[in-house]
Amino acid sequence: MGEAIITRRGGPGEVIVEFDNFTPTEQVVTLYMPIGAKYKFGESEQIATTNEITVPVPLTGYIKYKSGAVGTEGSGPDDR
Amino acid sequence: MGEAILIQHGSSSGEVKVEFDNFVPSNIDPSDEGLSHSIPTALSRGRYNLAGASVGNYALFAGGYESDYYPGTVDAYDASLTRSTPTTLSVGRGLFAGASVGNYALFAGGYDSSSIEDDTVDAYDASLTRSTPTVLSRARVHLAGASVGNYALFAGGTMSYIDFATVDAYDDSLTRSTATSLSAAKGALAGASVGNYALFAGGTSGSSLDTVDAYDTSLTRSAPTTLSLGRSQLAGASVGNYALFAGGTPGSSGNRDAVDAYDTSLTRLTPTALSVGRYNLAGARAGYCALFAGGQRTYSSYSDVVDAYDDSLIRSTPTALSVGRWSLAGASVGNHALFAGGRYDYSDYNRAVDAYTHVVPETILYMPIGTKYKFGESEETATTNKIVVRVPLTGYIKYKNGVISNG
Repeated sequence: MGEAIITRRGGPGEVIVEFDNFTPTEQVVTLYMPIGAKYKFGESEQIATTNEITVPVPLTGYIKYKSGAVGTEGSGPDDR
Repeated sequence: MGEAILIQHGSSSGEVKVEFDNFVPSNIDPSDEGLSHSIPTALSRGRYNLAGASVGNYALFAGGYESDYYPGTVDAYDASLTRSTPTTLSVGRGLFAGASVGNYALFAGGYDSSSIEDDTVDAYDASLTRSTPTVLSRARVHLAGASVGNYALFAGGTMSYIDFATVDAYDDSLTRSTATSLSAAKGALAGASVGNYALFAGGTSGSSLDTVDAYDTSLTRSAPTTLSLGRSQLAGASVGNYALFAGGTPGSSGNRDAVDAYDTSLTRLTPTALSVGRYNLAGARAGYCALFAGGQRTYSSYSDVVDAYDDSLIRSTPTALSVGRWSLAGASVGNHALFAGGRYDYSDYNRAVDAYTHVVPETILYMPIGTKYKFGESEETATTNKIVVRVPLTGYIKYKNGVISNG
């Protein structure tokens, strides 16, 4: 997994948080991120169209965060 | 895997800030928040003038007066509200005080079964094993307990009708020291904690007092603004950034409905008064609420009223106690505030226990260890890969490149 991330690393204003076979006690894991954030927990990288995604455990993958807001009204990404 | 990535990714500042703006996850209904009332198994013995304190996964109710003696009974309730009965106090007694420090709940002073003031201190650890630390520096009754930093403090009290300003401090190794005395000798005061302070407020020494003493984590004493009204036999409780002191009596007769709140800077506020003035009531915290339950309205009339103050000091009045009573005790475990024992007349030794549970919608956020976040008063640093946060979420996470794993 690490190699793929190195080749895909983002530009300024972006960080990558990886999940390495993470197995929390919760059966369903919901992750929150600004709309527009890129993530990958399956075959391909996707772009968040809502503020939350549900991922089966164990979690292996990543989220590329950019500065932004997670709001009930659905704020978009906001690079600051 | 992580090391190379940690170095190579991210912005020039190395972090991005993701803000949560009053966010409600789709699977959570914030209107579910509220206080629910239940009635756990009653105390193993009915009694009044008992004391409450918390340790680990337990709320403890110790001592108290039954019929014609102090049996020394201790009842413990876990976060599922299941009752157990740990070893009794080393000396049966009541009209004393409880406080917590580190892995211990302490019970100090009180009358013994010969109605003699006692200096004994009993400590219960998180496994409910009892030990007996060094006794108080002076035997006394009607003292108050509160905690700050690494100390449980026992302040004030009365012996042979003489009031004292003595303050005994027990650290998390149960070593006793003596802190600077209260600004005035008094009994029937109340204790509560907020931020870096333990506060002792009100009390009586011939007449009702309005003085408040605050002890910081170094046990240095300061004197915040006095109570809005002098009173004794009041109750203390803490919630969020406030220590609250509620109710009491001016002394000769009558009751007080006043509530004073002190914030982490020791600034005094005066929230909405109790819905019913009363004294000899009890306080405890349930989640994000401080509750005040029961009490006396007059010499011979009791109250079943419960007043709750949330962390914005907004008052509500949850379901009343199952039995109106006074001289009961409060203690907290999990999101529960428990009120136990007491009496509704001068021949009653009550076994009732009422539990108030603050149902708090929460969600879990995941982040690399070391990530900074703020969903309360101050920014914190994650020490585990997940944190639990109250809904709606308002705050932020400062993400850095990192890995979330099972550790």
